[in-house]
Amino acid sequence: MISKRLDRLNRTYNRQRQGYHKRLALLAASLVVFTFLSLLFGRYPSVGFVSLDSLLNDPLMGKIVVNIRMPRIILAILGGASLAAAGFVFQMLFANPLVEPGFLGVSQGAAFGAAAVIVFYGYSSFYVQLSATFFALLALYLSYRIAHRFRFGGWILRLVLSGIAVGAIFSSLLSVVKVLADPTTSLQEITFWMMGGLYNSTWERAVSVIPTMMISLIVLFSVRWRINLLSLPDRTGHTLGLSVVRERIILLIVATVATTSIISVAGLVSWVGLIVPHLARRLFTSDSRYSLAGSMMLGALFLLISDTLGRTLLSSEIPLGIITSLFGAILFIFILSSRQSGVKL
Amino acid sequence: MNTDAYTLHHVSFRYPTNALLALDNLSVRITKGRTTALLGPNGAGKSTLMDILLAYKQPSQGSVTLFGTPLNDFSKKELGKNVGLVPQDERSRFSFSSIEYVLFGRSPYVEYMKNPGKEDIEIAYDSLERVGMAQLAHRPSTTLSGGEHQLLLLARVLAQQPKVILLDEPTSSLDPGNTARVLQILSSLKKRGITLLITTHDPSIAADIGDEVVMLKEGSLLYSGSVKEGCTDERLTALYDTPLQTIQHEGKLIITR
Repeated sequence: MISKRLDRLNRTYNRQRQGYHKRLALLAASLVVFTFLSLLFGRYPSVGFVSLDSLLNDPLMGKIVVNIRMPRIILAILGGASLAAAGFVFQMLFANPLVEPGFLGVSQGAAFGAAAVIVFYGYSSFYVQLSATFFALLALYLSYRIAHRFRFGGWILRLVLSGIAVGAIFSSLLSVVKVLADPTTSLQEITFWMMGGLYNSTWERAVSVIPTMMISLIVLFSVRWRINLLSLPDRTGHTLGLSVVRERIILLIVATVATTSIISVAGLVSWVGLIVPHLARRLFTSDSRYSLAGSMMLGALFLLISDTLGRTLLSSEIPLGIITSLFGAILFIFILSSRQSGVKL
Repeated sequence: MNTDAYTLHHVSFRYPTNALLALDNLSVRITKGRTTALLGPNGAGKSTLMDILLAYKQPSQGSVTLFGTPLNDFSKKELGKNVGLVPQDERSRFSFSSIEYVLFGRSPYVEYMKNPGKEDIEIAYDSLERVGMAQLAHRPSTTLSGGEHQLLLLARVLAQQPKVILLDEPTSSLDPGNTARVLQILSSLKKRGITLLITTHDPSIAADIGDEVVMLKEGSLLYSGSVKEGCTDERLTALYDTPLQTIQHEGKLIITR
């Protein structure tokens, strides 16, 4: 009797899992389709899809597809996956569905680090990435240490408050850098860069960040089940055999590195890390075994579509960050207003 | 043969922000295979002692052994296989289904970069069945009632299959029906030789399910030994600073004010 019942439950479980796998496969297939569509869609020679004739006979068209669109699309896909995965990990590790790396000063630290290099050294993908990562980790470390010193509120609140303070400090420092910037050259570059965009993607830039993003994504994906456990209270995690603090710090560093890699080439692309994990939890479950992979794919799709729209809708480029903010905020309102938000706030 | 699950030698603990000792020179033995109630008023140091037994906090002084081995010699994973916790209150903000939640108990058995396997999933379903919650296996845990959630935490520790289970006020938020169910599950665990340590500020619960009792007051040991001998009118009155009486009824100890 009991074993029959367990058998039935087991079958339901497997059916559910198959359902999640199917959805993941569907997302992967859409990603492939959108990648091809996006490669062939643009404003040269006129708005619309490339004709086969021009692809084969127009040498400039071939160059545009291979040297301009392709690296840009790869960056959009990996960048979207990185931002969404990092947001997902931050939300789980802080047991707070309303955070993303912008909280804890990570994005502001990265922005300051990148801007400082642009102004005082000139744009170099490697140094921008290095400096952005350094200051993002510094901000993360400061937020963590300062939260320990606060004598007000619970741990999550203390962390949010110290993150706000550290974020504000780096935002102020960023303003100082802007004041010092040359208004005719680097100030413009910083301003446009801060709006977020992949407009100057090249193979060189793509290659400089692809390895870090890939490694970060693989590391996060391989520990996906444990991310669930790290969302539980510390004491519970400890009794379940986890080295809670160590595992949390490692994953936060990996998530931060993933974020700064894309920030260093695309500037501040906000809302992806906040909104996409919510969408993933609705499509799958809160279980990171499925929702983390779901977040990565949805993030990739979200950024790919946003970027394609940004470069084709108007004759001049709409910065990517503006499009993601617009769609992200609308989706956010929609998700939090619906009954099945997948989280309890 | 060592009959102790835990042996505490002169254990003291002080919080960095507090001048007073939270635990003061505690020497106690928790007997293997028996149910021990950890009894004391609020703020007596029960939670601190639990944290030390879980190796979640380190004593400022003294030593703790588990089955004769110093607690700190256990790896995190080994500790997870030996000692399980049923916290008093634990709610996730994320809507894991009940079965996913119970599956977390398998963590000490799952390799670092692996996911739980078929056997883990079967054990998790079996654990849910044993607390009578199999029909809620695929419901989001965020929609469970307080009582159901407490049973879910119990199912998770069953899936963890530890030799010692620490329970923090396991019945404090339960209605009489669910309390009876929890006590029944605990007594079946006891029959299987599991060592149970239950904190409670309610002496009736201690008298009902405990074989032995450890009484703590202001961080110091007031008594440790059998429940029957320990739960006297004078001792309970001294423990709670309020007049309490014990009555024997059909072999059961009942405590009244």
